Amino acid sequence: MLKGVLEGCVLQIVAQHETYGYQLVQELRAVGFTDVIGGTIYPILQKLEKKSLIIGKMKPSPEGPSRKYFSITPDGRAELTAFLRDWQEINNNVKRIFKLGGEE
Amino acid sequence: MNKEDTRTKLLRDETNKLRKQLKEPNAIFFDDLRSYLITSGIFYAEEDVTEQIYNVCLDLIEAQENGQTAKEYFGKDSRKLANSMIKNFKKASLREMINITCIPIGIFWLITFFSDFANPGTLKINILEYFLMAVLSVALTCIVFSLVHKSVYLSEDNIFRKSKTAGFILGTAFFASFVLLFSAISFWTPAFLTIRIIYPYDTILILALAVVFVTWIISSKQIYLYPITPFVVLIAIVGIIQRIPVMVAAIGADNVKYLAIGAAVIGFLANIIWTRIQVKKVAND
Repeated sequence: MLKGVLEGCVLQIVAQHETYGYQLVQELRAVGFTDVIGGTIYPILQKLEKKSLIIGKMKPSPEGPSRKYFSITPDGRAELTAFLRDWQEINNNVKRIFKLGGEE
Repeated sequence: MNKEDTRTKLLRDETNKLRKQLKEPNAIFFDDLRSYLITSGIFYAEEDVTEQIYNVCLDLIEAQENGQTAKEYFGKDSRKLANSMIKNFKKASLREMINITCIPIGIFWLITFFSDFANPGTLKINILEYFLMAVLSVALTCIVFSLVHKSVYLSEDNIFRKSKTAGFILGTAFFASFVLLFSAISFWTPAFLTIRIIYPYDTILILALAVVFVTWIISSKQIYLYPITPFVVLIAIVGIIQRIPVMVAAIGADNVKYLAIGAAVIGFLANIIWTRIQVKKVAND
């Protein structure tokens, strides 16, 4: 489930702006996913690209040689909308359970 | 070279240049990861694998510049993480698969053909022998890839990591088994279906093959095939001499036999020495 959440978060970041592996890891760590490592992110990026939810293009980077930047595709946007809907539902269900637990 | 091959070569060259920016522990980490990913299988899209490695190298350099070690950035269990990457590699296209399979088969067939040509008398091509050689060449390629792949992340207490002698013994045993198998196929394959090519067509064919082969490896800069060139050229020369009656009469039939053996030995030694030089050069680069 956590992996699915991470995939959703990666999609959301890529939807906001074009990014690459290292930058993505830093952004995820900055928002609190401190355990996230490159080794977890590369397979997710590969998987999302394979499903055509994101697209990678080699572009010159400001720091030096060209590197692969990822951007979201229309299919990726649809998947992101579905993820947000599912996430809100799970979030509400979890909140409801904990609220009930608190009342008992 | 087509567009994909050219891009793959560019990415590989660029990665080699970038790798020099990595400091010692990070460079070792990257080398292991690269070897592990490259040898993960012969049927993955080479362009995709090379591109992933290039991007990982760039990210490791950036992590290093920001004070992180490769292990901190990529993760401690690099083998497990690399396996997750391998699962998502794109499969090679049919053209790529044919190319990958054809290279070892082509080399083995060429050596077998030139060896057949070095024998005196009418050139005989044993179809079953060539089929077995094709199977052996593909099997050998897969085994070598698998052995290198498995040797990258050996545990600390593994005998091959602890002792260089164990690795040497295994390597020698493997090489000896391969030579034995190659010789067994060459000498004992029954001649169920044999094609005979008579003089002068055999000489014309071998001359054409030798010229095409040497021109192809030089023009397309197939560096890894350079070491077998002396073997092919020497055997072709001796084979041609054996088939020209005037030359046999001038040199003497017995001397021609020794010439053939000598050419094969010199060609084989040149192959080993040249390969060693190439391996050292790649290691130093």
